[in-house]
Amino acid sequence: MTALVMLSLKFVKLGFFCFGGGYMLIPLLISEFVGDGKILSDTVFANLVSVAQVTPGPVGINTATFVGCVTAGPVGAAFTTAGLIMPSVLLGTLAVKAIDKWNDTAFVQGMLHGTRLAAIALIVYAAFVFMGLSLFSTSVSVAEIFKAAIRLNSESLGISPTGIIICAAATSLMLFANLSVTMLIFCSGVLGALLFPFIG
Amino acid sequence: MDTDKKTLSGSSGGIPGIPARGFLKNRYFLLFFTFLKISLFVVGGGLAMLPVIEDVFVRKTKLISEKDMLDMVAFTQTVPGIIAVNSSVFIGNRIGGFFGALAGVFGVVLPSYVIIVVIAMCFPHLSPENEMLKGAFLGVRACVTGLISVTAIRLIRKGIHNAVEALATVIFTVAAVCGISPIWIILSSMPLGLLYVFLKNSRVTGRSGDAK
Repeated sequence: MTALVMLSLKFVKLGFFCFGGGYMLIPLLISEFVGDGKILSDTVFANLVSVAQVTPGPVGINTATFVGCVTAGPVGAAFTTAGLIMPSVLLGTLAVKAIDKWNDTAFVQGMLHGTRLAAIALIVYAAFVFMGLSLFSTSVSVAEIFKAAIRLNSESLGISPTGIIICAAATSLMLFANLSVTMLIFCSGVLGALLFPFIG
Repeated sequence: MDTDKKTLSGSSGGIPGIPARGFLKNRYFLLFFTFLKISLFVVGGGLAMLPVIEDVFVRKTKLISEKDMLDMVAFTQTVPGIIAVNSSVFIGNRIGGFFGALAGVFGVVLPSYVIIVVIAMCFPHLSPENEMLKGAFLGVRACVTGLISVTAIRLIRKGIHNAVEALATVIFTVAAVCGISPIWIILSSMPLGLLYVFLKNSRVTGRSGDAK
């Protein structure tokens, strides 16, 4: 029970710092729950984010529910999910009444200007993390990618052709053709299942 | 939460001037089911759900105004949290106070909760042995990598306007890559943002006398 409360308090903390919506949670979750000796391994986390993209609902809620459920069953999942949304509900209810007065002040705008840039940086970082988790045959940390890039020996990392092809195709399709994301994710899954057993 | 709704749905929940449409005439149920629908069927989150909210709460039931919609967008970007949850907190509060917010949030969370609990009970490790399933997960991960990269590119284009902002973003990114906790990065970005806006404003007013 104490462990469960501690776990949900961690999610309360993440809820407080989640400026800029769902993707912002990815770097926060990684620093809190992903890695050696923590609750989730990096591949499980990456698959979880992938599952969250194809199932309905926000990624943050899905991850909180999954972590809670794996550690303490459905009750644990209720605790962690409630923890994640608590700051929104409490701060939000207070802010609804004050927002008209406060939102245009230089103080609030200045702080938000800072957090907006930090949010961009952390989403760029999340993109690096996911490159490490999807472009190589085994999952690779961001630090390893940069080391290899500096030494220019990408062979040591074991690049996955399937991952590279799908990522390049999906990125350019999203940038230049306005396709539905759900459709793209579905096609990527099918393509991955067909290509991976043959070209790795 | 169920008991909350039952007691509230009695007398105070009705929407004056709205023709009875079954149980949806109660504003707490309307909030709950609208956000349940948004959570279940609107893929892409964030701003993709604005049209649904507008349709239900502005046009059909006239419970909030167009201006409230704009306030909601500003609100979701000011208060930390998931955008779908923040939207339901804002709309819920405007329509039904704190319990309205709870009804909306409950609607957002319920589908995710049920689906993910079922998945977690059946596949607690999410790491398949089968080569084709592995490939399918790899394909979806590669696509999600593209999705996050495209989001990052769009945010950079929209949110970075000059060399100072670009430099700050690069420094924050390097800090994250070096393993500094995102929480410290966000905390340090707040005073830096204040300082930046203060210096920019004082320079502009100092040079041209034009308080902009």
